[in-house]
Amino acid sequence: MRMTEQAYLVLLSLAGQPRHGYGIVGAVLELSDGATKLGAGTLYGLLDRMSEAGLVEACGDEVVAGRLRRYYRLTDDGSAALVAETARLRALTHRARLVLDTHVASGVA
Amino acid sequence: MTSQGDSRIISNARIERRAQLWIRAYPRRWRQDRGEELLGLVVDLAGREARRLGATAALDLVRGGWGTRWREHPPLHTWLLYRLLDRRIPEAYRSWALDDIDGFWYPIRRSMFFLASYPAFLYALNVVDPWGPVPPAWHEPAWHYLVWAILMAVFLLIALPEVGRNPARHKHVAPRAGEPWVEGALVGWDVPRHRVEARSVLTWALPLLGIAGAASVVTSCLAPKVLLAKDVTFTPWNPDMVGGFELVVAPMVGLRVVAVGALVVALGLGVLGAALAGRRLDRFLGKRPAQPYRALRPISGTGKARVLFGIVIVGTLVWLEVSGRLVLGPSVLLGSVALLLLPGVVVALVVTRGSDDADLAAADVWRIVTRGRLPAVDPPAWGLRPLPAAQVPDARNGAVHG
Repeated sequence: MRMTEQAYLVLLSLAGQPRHGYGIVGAVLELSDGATKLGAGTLYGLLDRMSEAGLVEACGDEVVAGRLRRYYRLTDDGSAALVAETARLRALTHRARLVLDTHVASGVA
Repeated sequence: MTSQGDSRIISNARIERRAQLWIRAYPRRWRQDRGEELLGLVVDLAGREARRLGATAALDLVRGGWGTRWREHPPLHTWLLYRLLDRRIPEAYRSWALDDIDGFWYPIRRSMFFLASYPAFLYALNVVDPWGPVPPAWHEPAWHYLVWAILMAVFLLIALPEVGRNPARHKHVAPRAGEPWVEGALVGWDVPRHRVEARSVLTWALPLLGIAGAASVVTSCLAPKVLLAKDVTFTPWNPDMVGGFELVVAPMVGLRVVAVGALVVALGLGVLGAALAGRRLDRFLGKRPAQPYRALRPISGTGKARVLFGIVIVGTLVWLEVSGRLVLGPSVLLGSVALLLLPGVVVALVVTRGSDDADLAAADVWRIVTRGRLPAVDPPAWGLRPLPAAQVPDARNGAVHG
């Protein structure tokens, strides 16, 4: 599946611990510094696609205040995809910095 | 006056109802599996103090639901083979096929090409006119064919809602010969035979029959035209003719009494039948055999739709006959049947409401009333059911656990 920013943030939110839907939405909001607020439909679309791709899996249910909450966790493939995407973003950031440094240096000269 | 806690609960209940409406955008099987979980998240995200579900949240659900439907939908060529030629659907799309077959609109979906192509073919014939010149006035306008297709679709939905579903489930959803059975696979089992509750059916039949009976009386009193067979014994242009008759539309002079009389006779016979029905029900209701393979359900949405459809038909007939667009007849025929059945239905409803037989089916009442016999024990039905993990066959010897 295509690793969009939303998909990456969802994977990242599950890196430390299994979370239920509401927990994932909260963690994504925090990780994105308030920029990404997932709707319920968007989140479940992502979770469906990630489950089909074998990146996440359900790992238990609980009923809180009469509502069902299902927990999701990263699979080994999901962890590997997260590490690979983080490395790609780090390399991109590094290259971006080089480009910007060159641009600023030439602008000053 | 409600407290703050009460208003919060009411507010959440309102949001839940709204969310359930929008969650219907998701496929049926997906909803059964994860709908409750999604609903909980929607309510949590709306917040405790929220009084309504925002448009953004509703749109997000619709987009997510249709996205899920799109992902689960088979590709075009697979779908065409399934829909047009009834070719077996590949295993990956069985969930989609089950949703398709169980869906309310399935009778129309499975006939959609017929419903679309047959009127189009007739219209094309009408326009091309291959049999020679036909006066333009004889050409049917296009909307007639559209109305025909819509009426056919309504008929399929109301009158034949279950036709073809069970064979389709077995063909497209059940595992094929030689295919290993896994947990959750839909396999054939003896399943409970579904019957409709007597009280539920009788409660819905009563207004239909009452309206049909009353409408026939009104029509008989007000309809201006009737169809008569008139003797033709001599015609000047055919002197050899020995006799015959022709049908003519005539005014209702003196014939209103005949129509009303027919209805009164039907009602009288109905009252006699109702007395017999009451005696039979009193005699047999308490002696019915146990029904171990039966599952009772109230009248379905389709059943209610049939009743409403019947009322619409009756109303249309009244309008046609009272306005003189149609001769008096069909409504009297329908009304006679309704008045014949109505007293029996009233008696059966009173008797069944007074009894404490919770497992009384409409089929039982019909058999007792019409045949004067005890109903037979229902055999189990053959249907599909998910295979529990404990009954997955052992791969080595084919034994079934559990």
